[in-house]
Amino acid sequence: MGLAFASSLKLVVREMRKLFIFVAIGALLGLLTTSPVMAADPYTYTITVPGFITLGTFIAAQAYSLTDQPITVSTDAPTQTTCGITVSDSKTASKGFLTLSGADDIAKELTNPLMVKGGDVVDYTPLTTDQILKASATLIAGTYNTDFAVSQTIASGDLTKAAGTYSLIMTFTATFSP
Amino acid sequence: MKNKILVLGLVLALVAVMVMPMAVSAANPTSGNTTVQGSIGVTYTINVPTTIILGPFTTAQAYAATGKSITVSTNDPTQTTCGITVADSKTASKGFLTLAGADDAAKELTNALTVAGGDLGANYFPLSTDRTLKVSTTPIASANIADFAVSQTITSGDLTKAAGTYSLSMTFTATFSP
Repeated sequence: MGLAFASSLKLVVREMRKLFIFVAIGALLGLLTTSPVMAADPYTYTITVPGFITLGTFIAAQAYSLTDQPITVSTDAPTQTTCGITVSDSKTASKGFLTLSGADDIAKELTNPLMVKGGDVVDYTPLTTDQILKASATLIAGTYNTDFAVSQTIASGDLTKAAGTYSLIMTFTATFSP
Repeated sequence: MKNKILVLGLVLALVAVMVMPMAVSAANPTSGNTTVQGSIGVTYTINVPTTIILGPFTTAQAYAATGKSITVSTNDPTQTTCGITVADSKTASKGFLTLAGADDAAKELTNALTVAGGDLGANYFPLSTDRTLKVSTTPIASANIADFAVSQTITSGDLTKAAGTYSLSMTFTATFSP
């Protein structure tokens, strides 16, 4: 009786070992098959934005704007049919504000934040929070275009601030979806 | 039993294949940067009293006006010091109030206008030569003056001169330096 039990147990262990090997081989085959897909995605995903938007020299307390700035997103991936576009300022303390050095520096920022509009953002909105220019836009032939505009209101107090170039780096992000 | 194990291995491989494209899809967001910039120009300012009225001159005595402010400022971050001078640009009647305010020795008062304040201290000095109210001082705000004063001594002979307003235009000059 005990001998039969031991024999059965050995058989079970042997079968479990086979199972483990098969599972391991199966998983390995899966990874080997799919890894090339990651490494060699043949498709391109691009967003084209203006390199610089120059508002000029601030000489009066007024709004300085620049409109009709083109933003284009495109892909040749046939499975992607829509895209979303966001614009943000990655600074934290002076998020959305032009600063003298362009860096995160509250002491050297302008009085008012930069305002942006375009796509789904119909009215000028402060860039103090990330703005969704397009939640989901349909790609036509893999491409989507939208206009973008910025506006900076200069206060009289800004005109006596340290002279120099005040700037901010906007980051546009496009996300493609099937 | 072996068939079951084989099926299980294939299922696992299939799951791996399904998972990998999701990873590819998640990797498609793309971004671009735009620099927004505008400049604030350099300004240099000096604020001085536009008019100092001493008269009318009715008796032979000194007429003075004290406690006048002169302030300077700039937003040029490269400038750290400032000096102030005051001058009368006339030549023949330099430093003297004249009937027309122009350079006319024949129609000037007997005594020159005298000035005090700043580095001159409380003592009055004739404006017949240019006067340094502040030598270059750091910081720039220390060049501000709150005690500028003028004094005009009227003689009895002045009281019989042609009636009218005797005047002189003082020119204040602020010089900023690094």
